[in-house]
Amino acid sequence: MTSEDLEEMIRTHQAEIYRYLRYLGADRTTAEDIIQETFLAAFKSRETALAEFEASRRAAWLRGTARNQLLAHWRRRKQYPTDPATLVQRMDNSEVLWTSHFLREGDGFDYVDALRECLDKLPDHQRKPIELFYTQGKSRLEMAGLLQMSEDGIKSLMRRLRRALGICVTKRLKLAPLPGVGA
Amino acid sequence: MKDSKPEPIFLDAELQETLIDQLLREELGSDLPPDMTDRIMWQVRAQEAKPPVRRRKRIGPVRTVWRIWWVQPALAAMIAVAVGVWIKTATKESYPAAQVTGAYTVEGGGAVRPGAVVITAPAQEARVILGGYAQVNMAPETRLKVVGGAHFKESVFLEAGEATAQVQKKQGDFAVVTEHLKASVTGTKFTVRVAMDTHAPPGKAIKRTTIRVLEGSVDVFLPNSTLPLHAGESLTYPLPPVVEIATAPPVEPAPVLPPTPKPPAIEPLPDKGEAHVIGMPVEGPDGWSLVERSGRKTLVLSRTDYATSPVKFQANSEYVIVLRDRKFVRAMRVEGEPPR
Repeated sequence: MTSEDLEEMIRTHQAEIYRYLRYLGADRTTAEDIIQETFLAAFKSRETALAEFEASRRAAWLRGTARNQLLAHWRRRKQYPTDPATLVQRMDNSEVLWTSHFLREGDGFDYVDALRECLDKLPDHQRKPIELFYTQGKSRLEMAGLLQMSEDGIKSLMRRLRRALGICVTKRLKLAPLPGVGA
Repeated sequence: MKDSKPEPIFLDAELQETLIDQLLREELGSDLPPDMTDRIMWQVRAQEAKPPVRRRKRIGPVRTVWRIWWVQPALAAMIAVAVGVWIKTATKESYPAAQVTGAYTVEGGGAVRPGAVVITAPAQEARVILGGYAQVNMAPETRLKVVGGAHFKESVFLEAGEATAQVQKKQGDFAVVTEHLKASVTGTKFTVRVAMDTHAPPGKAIKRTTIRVLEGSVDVFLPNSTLPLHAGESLTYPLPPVVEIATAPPVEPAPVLPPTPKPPAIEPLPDKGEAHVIGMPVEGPDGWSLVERSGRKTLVLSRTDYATSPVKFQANSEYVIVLRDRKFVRAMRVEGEPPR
C-alpha cells in the first residue's frame, strides 16, 4: 500500500471508525488515538493488499482492528467498562447489530435518515428533553431543575426516549425487531 | 432454572440505545468525527524518513587459538567495547538531522544545525522537523533558534513571531523556550507567539509570550511557578496589572481604628464600578464579581466577550483570575460540564 492509498483510505473510512468506536464505548480522545493506531497498523500490513479490497471488506478489517485496539487499550489501563465476559459478548453483538441494522444499505445513511424522521415525529414534551441534552448540552442536574424531575428520573427518561427512537427506526426501515426490545 | 450469564437480549437493546445515543450526538450536538488525515499522514512520513537500522555480521567460526586461557576473556572485553562504540556511532548516524522546508533564511548563512537562527520574512512560512518527531510550523515574520540538545530532547528558542509545534507521543521530549517562559511537552500540539502587546497603553508596549494548547497538555514553566495547560487553554505572560479603575468609587475618609493585623497580600478590589480586566473593559456589575475561594480572593468573569484580550477566553465559560498583589497570577477555566 502506498501512502497515497492510505490517505484515500483514511478519508473514506475515518468517520465510520470514529462512530463505531464511540458506539463501542470509547471516549473522544481514546477514539482519536485508536483511529490513528488502526490506520498506522493498516499501513504496516502492506502484504494484506488492503487497498485492493472492496470498500465493505476493508471497512470490516478496519473495524476489527479498531475493536482489538480498543480492547487492548482497556486491558492496558485495567479499565474495562464492564466485566470481561460480558464485554466479549457485547463486542460480538455490536458487530452483528452494526452490519445487520446500521450498515444494512452499505453506508448507514438510511438509518440516519430514519432517525431524523423519527425525531421530527416526536411530540413536544418528548422532543424537549432531547434538545436540552443533545443540542444545548445541559447536564442531567440542569435538566432535572428545568423539567422539575429528579436526576435519576432524567436518566431513565433519556433511556426510554432513546429506546423509543430505536424502535421507531427499526419499524421505519422494516428491520427484524431486536429480541427483548418492546414493539 | 435460569442461566446466570447475562442475556444477549439485554445487550442488543442496550447496544441499539448506544448507537442511537451516538447518532443523536452527531446529529444534534457537536460530536462530529474529527479529520485525522493530516495527523496520521504526518506520522507515516516521519516514520518513513527514519533510516533503517544496520545489522552486524555474525562472527566467524572458532579456531584452535580459542583454547588459550586468556583469549575468551579478552575477546569478550573487545566485543563489549566494540558493541559500545558501535551503538554510540549507529545511534548518532540514525538520529535524524534537523530538516527545514518552506521559504526561510538562516541568519549568517549555512546549514540548519543547533545554534542556527531560522527566519521567515513577511508572507513566508517554514517547517522545522527536529529528531523526526517534533514539527514546528513557523508563521511569517518569525525568528526561531534551533537549540538542539541531546537526542530525543529537542528544543527551540522563539525570539519573535509565532510557531505551532506538534510533537509525536512517546517519541521524546520537546520544549519551546521564549524570554518569558518554557513550554515543555511530550506529545501534543500547541502554538507559541512572541509579540509586542497591542493592548498596552501608548509608550508602554512590552513584548509578551502567548501560548495556546490545541491538543494534549503542556507544562508551562514561568519564573516562579509551573502551570499545566490543557487543550483549549491559553495564557499570556507577562500580563499587566489586572484591574485598573476607570471610575473608582469615591474614597471614604478612613475611620480611626485600632491597630489591625498584617493585611493580606491581596489588596481588596472594589465590588462596584467599571474596571479593566487584563486591558479589556468589563461593563456592569454582572460582568464580574469578587469572591473568596479557599482563602484567596479571585475575580470571577461571567461574561464571554474577551476574545480579543491577551488571554484567549473561550465563549460560554467561566474563568477564575487569580490575583496576588493586584498582579495577574493565572487564569483558570472553572470546571463544569464539558462543551459539547
